Amino acid sequence: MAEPRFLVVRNDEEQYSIWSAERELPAGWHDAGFAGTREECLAHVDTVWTDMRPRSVREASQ
Amino acid sequence: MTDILSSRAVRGEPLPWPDATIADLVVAQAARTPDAVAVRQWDDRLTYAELLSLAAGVAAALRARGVGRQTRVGVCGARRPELVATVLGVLLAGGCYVPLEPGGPRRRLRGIAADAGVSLVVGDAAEAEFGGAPGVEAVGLPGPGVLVPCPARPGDPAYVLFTSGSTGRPKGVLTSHRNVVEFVTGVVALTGADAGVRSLGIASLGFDAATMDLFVPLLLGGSVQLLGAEDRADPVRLARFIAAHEVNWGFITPTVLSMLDPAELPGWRTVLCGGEAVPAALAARWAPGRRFLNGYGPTETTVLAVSGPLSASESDPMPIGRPLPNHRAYVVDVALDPVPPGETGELLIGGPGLADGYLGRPGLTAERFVPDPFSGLPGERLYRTGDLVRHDPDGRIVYLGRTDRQVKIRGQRIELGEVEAVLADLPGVTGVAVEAVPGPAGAELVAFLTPEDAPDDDRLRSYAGSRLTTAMLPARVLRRTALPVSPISGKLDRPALRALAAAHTVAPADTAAPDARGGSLAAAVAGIWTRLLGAAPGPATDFLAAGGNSIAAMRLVAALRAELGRQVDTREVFTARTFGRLAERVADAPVGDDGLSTGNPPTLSPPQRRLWFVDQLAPSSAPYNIAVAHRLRGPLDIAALGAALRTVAERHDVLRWRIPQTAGVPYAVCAEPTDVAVPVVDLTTSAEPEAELARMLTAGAAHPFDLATGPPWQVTVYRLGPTEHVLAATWHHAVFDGWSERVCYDDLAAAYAQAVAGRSPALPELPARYADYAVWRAERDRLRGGPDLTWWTGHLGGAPTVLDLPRDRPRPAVQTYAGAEAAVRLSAGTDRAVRELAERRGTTVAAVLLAAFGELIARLTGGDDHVLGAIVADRRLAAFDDVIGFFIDTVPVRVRTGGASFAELVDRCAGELHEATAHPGAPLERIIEALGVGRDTARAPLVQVLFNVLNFAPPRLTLSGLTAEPVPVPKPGSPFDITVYVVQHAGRTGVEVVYNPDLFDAARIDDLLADLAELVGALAAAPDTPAREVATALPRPTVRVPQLGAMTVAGGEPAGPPPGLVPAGPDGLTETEELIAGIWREVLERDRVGVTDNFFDIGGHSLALAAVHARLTAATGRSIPMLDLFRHPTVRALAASLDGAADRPELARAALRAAARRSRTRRIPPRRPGGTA
Repeated sequence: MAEPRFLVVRNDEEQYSIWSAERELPAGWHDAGFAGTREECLAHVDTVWTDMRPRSVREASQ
Repeated sequence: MTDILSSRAVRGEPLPWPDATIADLVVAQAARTPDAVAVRQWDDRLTYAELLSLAAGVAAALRARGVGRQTRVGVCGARRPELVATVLGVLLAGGCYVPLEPGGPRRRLRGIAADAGVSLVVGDAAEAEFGGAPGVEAVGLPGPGVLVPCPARPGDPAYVLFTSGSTGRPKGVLTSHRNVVEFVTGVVALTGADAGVRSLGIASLGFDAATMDLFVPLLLGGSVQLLGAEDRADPVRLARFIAAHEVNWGFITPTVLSMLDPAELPGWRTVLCGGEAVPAALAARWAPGRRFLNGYGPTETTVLAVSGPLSASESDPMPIGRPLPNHRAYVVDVALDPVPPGETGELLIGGPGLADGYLGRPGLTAERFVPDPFSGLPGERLYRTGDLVRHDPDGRIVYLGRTDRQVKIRGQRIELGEVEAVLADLPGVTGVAVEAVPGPAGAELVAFLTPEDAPDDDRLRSYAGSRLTTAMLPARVLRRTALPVSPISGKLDRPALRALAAAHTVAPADTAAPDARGGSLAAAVAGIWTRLLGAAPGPATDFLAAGGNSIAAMRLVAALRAELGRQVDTREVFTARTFGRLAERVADAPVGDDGLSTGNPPTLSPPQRRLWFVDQLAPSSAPYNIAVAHRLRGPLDIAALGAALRTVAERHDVLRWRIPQTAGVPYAVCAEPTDVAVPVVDLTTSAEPEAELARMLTAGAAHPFDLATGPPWQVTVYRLGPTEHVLAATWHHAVFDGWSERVCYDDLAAAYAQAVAGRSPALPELPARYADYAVWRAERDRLRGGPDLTWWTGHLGGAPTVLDLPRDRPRPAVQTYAGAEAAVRLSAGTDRAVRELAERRGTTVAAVLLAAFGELIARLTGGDDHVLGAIVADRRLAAFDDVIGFFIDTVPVRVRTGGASFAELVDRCAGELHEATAHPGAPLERIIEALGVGRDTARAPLVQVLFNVLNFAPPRLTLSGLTAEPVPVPKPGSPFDITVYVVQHAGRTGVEVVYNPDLFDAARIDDLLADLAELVGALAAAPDTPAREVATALPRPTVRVPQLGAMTVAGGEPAGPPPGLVPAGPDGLTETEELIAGIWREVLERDRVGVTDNFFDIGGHSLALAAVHARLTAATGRSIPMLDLFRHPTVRALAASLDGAADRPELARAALRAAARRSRTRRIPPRRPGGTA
């Protein structure tokens, strides 16, 4: 049986997480355009989430 | 989905919090209370102004080095008040602190600094730990500086805490100011903390509980009681610190809490316990009488996420409570779907406490912080705790264990994988597995290594010691040719490993007393070591290699103190390391347990002296007798009983004390043991044996003991038939108390059993005697007396010193000690309501009744401020558990009513009862003296109404071959106007009173009790209504309205001073006046006394009065009642009385009236001018 599929997701604070591809996305979360196994998704997050500060904090710092 | 979960259970109350940084809020608080103490460690104190000034200096030094918003700065300092300033300085500069604790493994410390990207480390230990580290600048403490506003915003990170990581690498949790401020707001609401909070500063800075220790008080205007490293590591020192610093609020792990004695720390009113599972037995010990809460929360959710009160009646597995304000909690399965209520699942937490994530670990953050599909709040996350829980039907969450392999070792979260990863890198190791198993000092790690000749303990320690914290070091290492594999999954068989580890725990050896183990001190130390560490030591056995850790060291030290009386410090256990060297240290250690010395000659304690004095005043009354009687059915062996009683008196020498005096100073001597006479009164021929018995029991209970010459106790047997007797005993309170009753019965039973078996009865020697208590107590009073007395005079400032309840007869001019009894039982409904309220307020039934009694009194007197007495059993040392004697202190309790709801009154009374026990260094006599309370022969000073909350379960007497059944004996007298006892009979609360029938009629007291029972029921049913508005018809007029003319002092009626009767002027002294004045000058050490000065106004007190009495008696050769000195408290009045009082009764009356006026009008002056009365 194939491994469960996950999506990389992102909220408006530009915080990343992963979510089951089978389930409806919770409110306020968006598909970040990457799907794969759990491990693949987490590895992808490691490459794209380069500034971990929430967007509101990041913007207030500039 | 979510609708199957009750919304109350999953969401905490909404609660707004300030949108500000921690630094902003501390600065604002400091502006309000600049001179309040912010941090204290013994004599080192920082006021808010000083704290801020030091922090400003740190901030300036950091800003000069480029620190600004979001810059991470290491903090490395000793646990001194300056550490708090260092932390605050980093925050003030806008930075984010990274705790780097000095003294840990240096490689791990520097590894964390590197992972955190820290290039600057500040603190008084920074140079020592980081001096010379590449890429890191160490900054010492620069001293005070000028405050510059904090540039950070609430969303900026405040600290990064590193916790054990599953990949073998610690992970840093990023926590923001907002997280902290929201958390503090929630925990303040949860615990009711206020500006009076004195927090327990015990958590290490790297443990997020430190957030609570520091910022709860600092955001409220309270103070942090910061423990130094040594006080933190030793249970005896820790208890002493908590008591001396009057800690009243604090978080602690159950492991450390279990080593403290709740009875020693009554002032610690709010105890938050957590960090690991709280055992039900611990809650049962600590919950009664205080607010005891569980605290649960991963670092990732900022200190606490779930919390709630725990009662004494919880059972394992323990509930951890409900979500904190603004927090959400869900229980889900592996697919993150909610499980039905009551089923086990993983706990997910949401809310503003959620950290931003793990520093530099986006993938890991995404794995643990997941989208929230339940709340409907857009873009919210939930933290996966990895903890298995379930919802109980009452909505509380119950903790059941971990989903992964994180374990708690001494409160620290350890990932077993991290330990395995380090050990696997050790050359010569081919396979490794680490498991946690229960050990003698809590959970401990056991490592399994392959091959069988894997590196030995020494090599392993020298390798891993610099890479793992002490908690992460395996307690034991087992070497194997191979590790067990599960035949089903093919994976490592962890259950088999745990079984193997448990099998290799050496069974605890015989825990027989040290003496039984060969007698030598080393053997005794070995016995304790074996019991605590699980294996017998050899001279070279290493403490750490044997599984010892800081907790085991604390227990070892406590046992050495308690069992061998040796004062050893935990530090010495670690410096000695081997058993042989430790045994040598123990042999050289000073003997004595917290100043307890043994073998002291008979010595009176202050409460004994007070009773002796009352005895001198009223030698023929016996208000302080304790009398009991038992009906014995079966064959009673009188000779065996006599032998058994002699054995009891041999063991408890206080029963053989005599209290004579010389020059008015009482002292104790001990008589040799002699046979105890057991008079047998034959009632078998009496026409009315039961009536005769009752009469004789009453008379026996009132037997006036002569403390100077005779035994202070007596026993009588009443014979009612060949196999029916009543055994009656009476003791003077000066050598006995309620607790002594059980000791006496146990010893009597043991000795009697031996005697009837034909043996010569013998009881083991006591570890300490009453005289040792008196000496121990004198030392405590010497050390604590000053501060405790200051506390009392401050606490009682402005309180009235007289409480006059409406009565039926004028108060006799000289206090009588007549006694009568009455009782009431609460209705089942009231009893339930009272218990529920007590439980809700985290206090005792007695506190609820005291609050109701206080309200009743307020309605009777029209005043809102009264002083009652309470009693405290001063049996704080285990060595006195089996000692008969008088260990009771009467303490004033101030009850302030008015305007408050009943719930508030209950809280106040609970606080009062606890505070009263927390200041034992100043006995009542000294408090009265320091307050300058005027003496008055008509009433007991300061305390006229006693509220007795000591609730010993009535002990049972069992004599072999006999059945024993208690026979009620009337109380011999009433030392106070009224004494109220809160009692429990057959599971129902009742109130019994002993009152003085010379003041009150029985009908009034019966009505008063009925009204009290009704009032407490009404108040408990409406705890949030202002108490004064509840059941306003109570008390009824027969209780409220005094008899006409009764509120006077008998014999004191003629108004105004009798003019011309008192010859004035110092020149006209009579011979008697000269004599008395001379004695006064000598005893009071004054150069002059006026003939009309009141003895008690110019420094006289009870024991000085006794000295005057003795000298006057000697000088005149006359027998003068001591009471006369009380009645005539001036030189002139006393001289007139001695020269023929019958001719001059006006003088005596004038003095009495003056005393009565003083008592009526006097309030204790407030300590500070302008203070509230």
